[in-house]
Amino acid sequence: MSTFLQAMTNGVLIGGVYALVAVGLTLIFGVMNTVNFAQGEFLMLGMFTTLMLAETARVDPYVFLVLVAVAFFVFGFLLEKYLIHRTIDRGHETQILLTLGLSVLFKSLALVIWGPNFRSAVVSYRLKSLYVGGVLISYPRLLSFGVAVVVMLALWFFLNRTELGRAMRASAVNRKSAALMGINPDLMYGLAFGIGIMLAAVGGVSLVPFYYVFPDVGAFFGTIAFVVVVLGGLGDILGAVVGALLIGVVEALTAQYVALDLSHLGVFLAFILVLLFRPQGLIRGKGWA
Amino acid sequence: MSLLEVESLCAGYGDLTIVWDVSLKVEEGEIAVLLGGNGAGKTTLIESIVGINPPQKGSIRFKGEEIQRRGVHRMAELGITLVPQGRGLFGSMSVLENLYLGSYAPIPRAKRAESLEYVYSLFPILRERKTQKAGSLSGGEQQMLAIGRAIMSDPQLLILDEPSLGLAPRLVETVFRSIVEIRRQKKIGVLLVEQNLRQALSVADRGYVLESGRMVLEGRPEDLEANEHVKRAYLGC
Ligand SMILES: Nc1ncnc2c1ncn2[C@@H]1O[C@H](COP(=O)(O)OP(=O)(O)OP(=O)(O)O)[C@@H](O)[C@H]1O
Ligand SMILES: [Mg+2]
Repeated sequence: MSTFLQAMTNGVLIGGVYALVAVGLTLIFGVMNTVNFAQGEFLMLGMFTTLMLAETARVDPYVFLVLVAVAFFVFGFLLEKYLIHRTIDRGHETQILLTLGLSVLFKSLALVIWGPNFRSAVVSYRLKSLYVGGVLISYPRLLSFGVAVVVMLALWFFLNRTELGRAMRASAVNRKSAALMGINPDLMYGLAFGIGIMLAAVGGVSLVPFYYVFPDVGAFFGTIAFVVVVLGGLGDILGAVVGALLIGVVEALTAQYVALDLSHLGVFLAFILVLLFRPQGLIRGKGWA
Repeated sequence: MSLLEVESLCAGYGDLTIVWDVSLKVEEGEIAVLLGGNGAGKTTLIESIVGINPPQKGSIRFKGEEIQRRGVHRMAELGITLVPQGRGLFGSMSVLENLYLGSYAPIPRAKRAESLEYVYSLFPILRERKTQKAGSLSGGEQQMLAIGRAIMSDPQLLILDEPSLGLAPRLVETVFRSIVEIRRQKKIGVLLVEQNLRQALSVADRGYVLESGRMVLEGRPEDLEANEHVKRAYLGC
């Protein structure tokens, strides 16, 4: 029983990071109808940036959370405005080539700048954990989950309780009508891309205290995010959150009860099963899509 | 100076021209109707006026000012609102959110509470339905919401693209009455696109007939109704 609870706990905790990356991806897709194949690489860049800053200043990585978030939002906004935007009405092939190209570019840049080695941050609480009811809760993982929860609540507030957030949702539902309401689509694209990659970068920051940092780290998280987004229903934010937690749990349970190195097999098996039986996504029924 | 003045406008998609050399105007406080059968090019013309599909040629003046190539999202702040064909509601969002979005632009946003009360007085059912998803409303309620959302932007020119499409006769009546009501109370110009010829002409001050992308007739509603061609082609007598 306690190994089961332990696996569940680990799964839910890492699910927070999956949710950040996946929600970013689904938000970009919902508003821009663009699949960002570089989503994982933005997480990687977020990790390296944080690691470099923390090593240079010799402080805790979390000190740079807000700074990295703001920087990546601006980065994303400008990248959309000057690059991605040119592909908006050019069809999916062009968009795929561009974001795939960006992902390769970022990976190579990271390799050149930081080298291929696995790095990790020096944090005092890396191995600390809380012991609650027979379950070990890793302290840095709990922190990371906490960050995900806070960021998700903030995002919910933005999307549902602010003028700009409501405008962004409206743009995702019906672009033409949104423009007729006076909502500038170009602004919405920039905001969506900025927020989308900011979420990935924040996920990256929260990984630094307990995860290895290396140029290819984004590939795994990016792939997981795609699985989660399809599970949740394309463009569905709540679906992505639920999907992320589910994938985290499936992965942890497979690692616990099947084999550690088969954990991804469990993830993709669950993915295929959902595709077979609920292709419209986990939450929304057909009528809602 | 007219509220809206369209001159020698050509519009279409890519290299394809659908609407040829069309001119029309809407004066302040009047209802102009644009009539025409399926595929005549009504929607193409309207969408080109509001910038969804910018014109290939010609000029569009609003209160004397050239508004071509302004971009769709500038129309709301200028005072032009379109209720698109098929309503274009934000189906997964609530009725109230749809109405709020109608007053997204800064000037109408300042008057949001007042406009909301006005819309509720026009369509009391929307107040009852305000927390419901727009997509869950009946066809008639959806059309009221689409008109209500447009009114929230406090427009000077209201363009409606076939608002009676797919509605039961009783609801068509309600929709037309509300348009007349809005024009009377707000003293705005209305450009009403319709196939429902008799009813449209009964509320109109000016009429246009578009056929295969060309303006074939224009004039006073009573003259259009008496016109032999109109009778044969649209009134079935
Ligand atoms: N996006 C498009 N690309 C190419 N052709 C189009 C497009 N939209 C409409 N058309 C064509 O333009 C012509 C006019 O269509 P339009 O929708 O403007 O007519 P309409 O008068 O609004 O008809 P309805 O009463 O059915 O709405 C039609 O032949 C239609 O096939
Ligand atoms: Mg039409």
